[in-house]
Amino acid sequence: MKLKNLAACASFLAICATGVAHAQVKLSGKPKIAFIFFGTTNDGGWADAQNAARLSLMKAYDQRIPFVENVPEVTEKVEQAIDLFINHGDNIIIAGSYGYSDAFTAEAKAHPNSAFINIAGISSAPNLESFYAKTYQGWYLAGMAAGYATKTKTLGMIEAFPIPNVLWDVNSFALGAEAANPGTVVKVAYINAWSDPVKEAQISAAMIGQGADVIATDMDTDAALLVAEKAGKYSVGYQVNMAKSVPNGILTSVIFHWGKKLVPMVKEMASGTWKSSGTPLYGMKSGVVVDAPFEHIPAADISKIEAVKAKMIAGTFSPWMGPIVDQSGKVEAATGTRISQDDLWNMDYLVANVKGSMK
Amino acid sequence: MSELLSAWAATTPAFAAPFLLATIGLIINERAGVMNLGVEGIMAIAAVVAVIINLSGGDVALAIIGGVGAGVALTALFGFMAVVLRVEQVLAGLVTFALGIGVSGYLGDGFQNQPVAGISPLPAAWFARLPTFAAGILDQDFLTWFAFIAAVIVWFVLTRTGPGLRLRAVGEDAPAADAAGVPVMAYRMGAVLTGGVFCALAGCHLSLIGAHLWVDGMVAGRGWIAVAMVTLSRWSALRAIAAALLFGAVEALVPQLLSSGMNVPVYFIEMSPYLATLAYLLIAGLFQTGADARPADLTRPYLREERR
Repeated sequence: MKLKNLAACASFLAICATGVAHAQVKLSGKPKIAFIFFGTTNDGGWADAQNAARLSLMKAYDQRIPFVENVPEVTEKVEQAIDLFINHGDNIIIAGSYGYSDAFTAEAKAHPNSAFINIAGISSAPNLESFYAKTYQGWYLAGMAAGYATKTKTLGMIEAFPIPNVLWDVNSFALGAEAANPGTVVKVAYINAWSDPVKEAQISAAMIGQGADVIATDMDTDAALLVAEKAGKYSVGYQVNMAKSVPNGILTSVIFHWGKKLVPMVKEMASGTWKSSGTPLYGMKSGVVVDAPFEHIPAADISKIEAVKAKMIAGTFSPWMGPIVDQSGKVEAATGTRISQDDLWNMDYLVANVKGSMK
Repeated sequence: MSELLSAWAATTPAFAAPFLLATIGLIINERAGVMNLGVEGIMAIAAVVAVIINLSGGDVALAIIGGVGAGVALTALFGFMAVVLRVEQVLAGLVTFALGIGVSGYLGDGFQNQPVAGISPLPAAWFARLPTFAAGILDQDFLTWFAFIAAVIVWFVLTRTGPGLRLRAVGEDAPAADAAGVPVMAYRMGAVLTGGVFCALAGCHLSLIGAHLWVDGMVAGRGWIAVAMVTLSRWSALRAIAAALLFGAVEALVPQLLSSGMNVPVYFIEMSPYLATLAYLLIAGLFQTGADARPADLTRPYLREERR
């Protein structure tokens, strides 16, 4: 205990000596990475996409990267997992779960010479960054594709919970569809779980029964899309390219490439130049979020989508440029203004062409 | 509106079937005096094995046989603990539950999220002459049909045949049944295994019909709902049909309402199954239907030498 205090004092003094509070993080040694997953690496979605980043890090840095699966969002359990890796000599801990935020704050404070990354977390520290993806960029373009494909002008979207970063997926999907095909409506339904394939399939069937001819899923599994494929409808996948399971109806998938950000980040960490950016959003420009190749719509429509994508990457277009009107008719962003990133994190409305409740 | 109604009615039986299968399985168990809380794990292991077989090229029949086989194997372990060794039934059930969930996750790790052919509804042509509304309700897959027919058969066997009456005697008063010459152990083990077949079929229904794939944890508490539905249906397979249909109807209404774009609060919709359960309990309480249906020797292990 005394030794630990001494060490803490020493590192505190070291920080004082360099004279910067938000300094670059000095790792305890050569970078050694470890991953913590909320689900299993074969879940076909959230953890699967993060495991792909683990594999590309392994390739880039030629090291074995240990991982632990199925760690629940319970602070002590997460801390135990982190301590295990740190005691083992690992000094870069990467995870992806909102519910890990508190554990990561505590552990980042306890281990100043380790770097912590928590995808979709909300906490930050000098050596802890919680970043997320501008998923709305991918969903806007997917919405355009769905708008071009639909004949009934009715799209269905299946969601987990009505929380801000889910609502911005729904809203950008609806805005993209409206831009491509004015008058298109998006039906939205929540499963109230991160994964329940039986319910996802049932809701998908109900939406198709009520006229939807494109089903988009914001969930881990492709259960909802399988129903669409069977009924001869179009689908939009999420997190990984779902084209393999629904080859005849897939329009695109909104995919994460976390490795695009993590690989350069670890390079900075190794050279001692990495600084936490707090809780940033990374988008198409960095390649963290992309759309899988568009299929089953005319080439002319695809080039229109590509044009918008180019403007998005160049920064001259955002789905959040006004006018944006919500379901109740309230103007959320007037013409010429734009919804800020802070306001995105507080999003509590659905745009006018979304059908469905949000409370 | 009428479209919504017919879609609602047509999707209700498939929602109800997995609950019904698991509930009649548990009724058979509990009527013989054995409470099996491992049902969630049994459903999981049957669901995953059926998917693995279907993915590896086995047809639906083989998938169901394999799923049921795996479920019954796990049930046999429970039966060995609960009936032969007379371990505390609640504990044995919880161990079976945990084991089933763990083993299913392990077995299914390489098979997650891969679509299976699964089971489709019966050919629509068979019902073409009926009015659309009736055709919608009747055009289900064969496992859903089986669930409802089996419930009636189970009710008949349990209440109208000799073996059924002996099985219930074992659950009501094991020493008396024993004195009357009924082999208590054999009846209990038989009931546990037969019940396991139905619980395993419920798991196969979820993965082969409900989701057409496997992911870890996909039974998602449905086994526990079945445990509650046994009490709700007062240990009667006929009332289990009513309870399952009620629950299925409410569950089937949720996606219909959600996707209709009606402005109903999500939390109210999510609450509806529990409201329905509450209403059912209230009605049952008001009219005191079958008040003391609970088998008297439920969870009570039987040992001939032991005095009561």
